[in-house]
Amino acid sequence: MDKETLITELKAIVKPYAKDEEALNNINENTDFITDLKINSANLVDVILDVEEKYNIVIDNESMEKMVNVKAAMEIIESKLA
Amino acid sequence: MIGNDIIDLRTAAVESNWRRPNYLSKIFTPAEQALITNDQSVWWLWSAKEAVYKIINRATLQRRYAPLSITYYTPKSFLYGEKEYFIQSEITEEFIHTIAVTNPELFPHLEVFKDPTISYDKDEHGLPMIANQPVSISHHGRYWAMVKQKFI
Repeated sequence: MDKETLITELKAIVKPYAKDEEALNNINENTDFITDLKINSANLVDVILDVEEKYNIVIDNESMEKMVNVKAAMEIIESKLA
Repeated sequence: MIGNDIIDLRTAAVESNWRRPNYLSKIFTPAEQALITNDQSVWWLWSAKEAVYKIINRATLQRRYAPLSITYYTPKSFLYGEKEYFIQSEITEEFIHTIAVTNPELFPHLEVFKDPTISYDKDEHGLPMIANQPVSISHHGRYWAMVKQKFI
């Protein structure tokens, strides 16, 4: 899967939880889920569960620790799908 | 060191569905899950973990989303690694506000502000300060809270 597609898919996943619409529209690899998109930390669990369901992967605790931005999410998804 | 976390229970009820499959096991240990009976117990546990996380984050300047690494120890303390962090919570029907400290002797010397118009500075990491002293701020839904040490 190319990066653009993955970012577009991630954008759809985080959309219901993102509080900053402008940051969501400008989403890129450097976007932070909490500081940029203003996703509540309790909703970050939903993002993780949605990613698990969409890609049929399991995000273990070690990976979950890093899931604070788009770049880390992409790396985790790519490594689990590889 | 101080950390705090405030949760608007109405906002949480609308925005978070903790009954979703696998939700609780991602953030709470089996022992913590056994304490859960209702919304209040879920958000109390979560507010404590968040308040403790703020202390750790400020001390290490590291971002880590690892709620399972901060664990319930007693009704008044949580553990991170070997270290005990002490908490006090204000629990109402509308909100839960938890304060965490590294030293429980600090509790009588803390003051809480709930007026978001109070002015404060930020340090080089963007963390809140008042008169060169670190303070902790949390906001959620209708609520805002700042905890600082009283000036002697």
